[in-house]
Amino acid sequence: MKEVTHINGANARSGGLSKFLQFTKANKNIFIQYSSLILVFSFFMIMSNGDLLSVVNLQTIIRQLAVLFIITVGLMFVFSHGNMDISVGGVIALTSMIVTFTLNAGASLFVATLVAIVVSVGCYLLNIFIANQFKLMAVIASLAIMFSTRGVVTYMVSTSNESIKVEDISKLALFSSNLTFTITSLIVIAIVGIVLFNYSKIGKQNKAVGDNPLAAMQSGVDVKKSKVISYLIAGIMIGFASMFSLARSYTVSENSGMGLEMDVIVALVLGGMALSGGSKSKISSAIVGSITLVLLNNGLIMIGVRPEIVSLVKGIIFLIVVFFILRRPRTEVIPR
Amino acid sequence: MDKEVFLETVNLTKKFDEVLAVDKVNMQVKLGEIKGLIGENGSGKSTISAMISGLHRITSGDIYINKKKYTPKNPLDAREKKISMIVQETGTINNLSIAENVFLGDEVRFKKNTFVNRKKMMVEAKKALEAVELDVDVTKSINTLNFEQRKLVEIARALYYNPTLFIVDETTTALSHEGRVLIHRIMRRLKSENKAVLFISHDLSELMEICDSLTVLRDGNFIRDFEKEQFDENEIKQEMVGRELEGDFYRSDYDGTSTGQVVFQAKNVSAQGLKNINLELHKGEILGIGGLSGSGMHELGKVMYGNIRLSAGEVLVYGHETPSFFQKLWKQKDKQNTGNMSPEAKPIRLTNIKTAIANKVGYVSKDRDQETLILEASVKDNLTLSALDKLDSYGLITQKAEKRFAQEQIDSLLIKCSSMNQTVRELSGGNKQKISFGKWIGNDSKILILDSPTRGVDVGVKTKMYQLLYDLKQQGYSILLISEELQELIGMSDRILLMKDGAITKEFHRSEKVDEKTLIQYMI
Repeated sequence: MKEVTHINGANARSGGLSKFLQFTKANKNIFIQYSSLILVFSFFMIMSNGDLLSVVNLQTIIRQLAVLFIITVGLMFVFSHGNMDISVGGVIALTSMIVTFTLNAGASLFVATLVAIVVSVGCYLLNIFIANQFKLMAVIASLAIMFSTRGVVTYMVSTSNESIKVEDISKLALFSSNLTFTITSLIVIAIVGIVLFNYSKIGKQNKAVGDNPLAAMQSGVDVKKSKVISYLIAGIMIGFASMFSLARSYTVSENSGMGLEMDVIVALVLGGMALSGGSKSKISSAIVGSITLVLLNNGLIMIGVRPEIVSLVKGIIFLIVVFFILRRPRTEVIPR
Repeated sequence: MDKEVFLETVNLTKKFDEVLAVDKVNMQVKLGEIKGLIGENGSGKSTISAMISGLHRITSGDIYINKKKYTPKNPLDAREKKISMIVQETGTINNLSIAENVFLGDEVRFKKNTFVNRKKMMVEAKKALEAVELDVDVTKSINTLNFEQRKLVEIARALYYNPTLFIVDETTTALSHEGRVLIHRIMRRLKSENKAVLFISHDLSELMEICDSLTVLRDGNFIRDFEKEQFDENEIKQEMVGRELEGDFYRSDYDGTSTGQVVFQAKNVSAQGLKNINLELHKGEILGIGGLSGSGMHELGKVMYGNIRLSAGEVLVYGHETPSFFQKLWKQKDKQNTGNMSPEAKPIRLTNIKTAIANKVGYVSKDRDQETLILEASVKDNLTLSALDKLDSYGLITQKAEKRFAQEQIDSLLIKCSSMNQTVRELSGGNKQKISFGKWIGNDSKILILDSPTRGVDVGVKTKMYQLLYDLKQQGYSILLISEELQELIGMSDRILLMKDGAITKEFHRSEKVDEKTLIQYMI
């Protein structure tokens, strides 16, 4: 009853300013979602005298965007049902390594891409299998996956005499230099993500599970299946993303994909996503957030911030955004 | 013999922002008396008790205790004045021991040098729990207790301080019959010890039974005081609602016949807490299930919905086989044909929730806010969640289809919401309940399992719920009505099955002769 009266109170308040404040409050997430993008964009546009949008830089941005964009959209399905994943960096490293071996063994690009998807899906299905089977939080299972995948890669790199790299780099041309293909992929993935997330049973059930698994179950949602599907989607997208990742350097080291797991989380928060998931999750958070983060990375380098302190600056910006978000009730931000 | 006034409010007012929750209420609570405070949801009952116990600040007006002005700033002030309150929500903290929960916030009491004297605390906790007849190991974690026992721990905590005014805020709705009896006994004991009790509830019959006087509130206003001699159910109800209640509270016919067509059946079902249950639900019938809360009736609801695994027997629903994937692809063509109980309906074994939903069985849990609704999601999302298969056309669910579906339910059930995108959390109890009905009605679920559908809703909404149930029955819905309220079962059911210790003990057919007393015999 208390709640009801509070709401009435808010409605009864009149006057332009308070109406505006109310509107701002109600749409706070949307504001954060776009304000960080707009702020980052306009700041670097001014600072770089418009060079941010130069043809050359746009190409760089799109190449930088490819990996982060695809994995963020894929992991959105995991985050929206309240789980968290920190294995993505390790999975990408492992996948890239196996793809390198496959390519070097003479397989075609198509086969290599399939292999990438199979490996990545395998990792993610293992992740959710462990979580479901042992009733663990999926984030703990993903920790295990992170260490083991990273461990395998580190071991292989340390035992091989020369560095692990793609011998015939022309095979990866489609992923490395064909900009039309990259842009088309991003658009297709965005559309697939939006449709699955907003206009299909998968996405809707996913969000319901994120809010209240018990009620979702009693409404006929197969909670376990819904989780497995979300990890499957994430796996497919991340497998695809590792092709773009490999095509940027052609080599695999123990540091491949390092830090991506945190980039995804930062991107989602910059995109206005509440990490507890549920019905307030929006696929646009993944899209807007990953673009914002890439612009930020790119812009900082462009205006001549020394690479050594880029991380610090990013940290401060992240803190500012989190400050706005953390003032919401705690349950909204912290995963259960 | 005039009783001494312990607490008096004068023009007590509380505003939340600009909204008046309590408007100039004058009332008295006397020693040696149980005072009832009644009103619909939102009438200000809980706000008043929260002000007395120092949870809310007073906006204007005064409270006097023993003729002295009393302005509590926090619950500790209230404790000092010997006022204890039990609230509606859970007030225990998980992962602490039972003893620690009894003395929450008052560990200082057992301070010895700098540390808490645990031993003494345990002994005192044991003593405190004796007052509520709870015999448990106080060193164990509170998590080992069920909801009702936790409530008793709270009561023990409140009583430990030997209150002169004991406030009970809607606590009994959460308790089973035995729990209620116990708390009634405690209230009467306090009364005999010349203490004051303020009992807040919207269960009128309970208040009329227990209280010596009643104060009726409506929309934050004081309406009228009733003394014991003046108690009259209809009159009080009218004062609460502020208008004549239209027609009968329950259905008025005594026609308990049904079509005889069985649509839903349990055959020799045994499961967790259930022994050899047999029941048949006919088309267009309201079958009431009654018993004490531990009798297994709530489990029976879940069993019938496929939510609890059976150890023996089977649950059968008369419907059609679940269409295969390929049949689903052609679904668009013969959409009108599904959902109708055609004569050639076959019995299908119901083993999981999916089969239940596919065969048009819907379930509304007793714990609506936790199990049936997603409070953070919008009205639309809640309504459509169980009907996604129906809305799905070729793998896509369009906004248009969703909106049309949600609007249909909002219109036909008259759900009050600012828009279909409003969060369900913001709605009142009655409207929430309508949404949980709407979920299933919209999905063409012709068999509804309703567990305590009127729990926690007030009289006005209750009437509407009963009307709705009756309308549904007339439209051919078959309803399994599980309820702890006997009046409700007698008032609404075509047949009543009573349960005790996991088994069905007796069946009653609808008639004027059935009354609460006869039913209770088979429950206890």
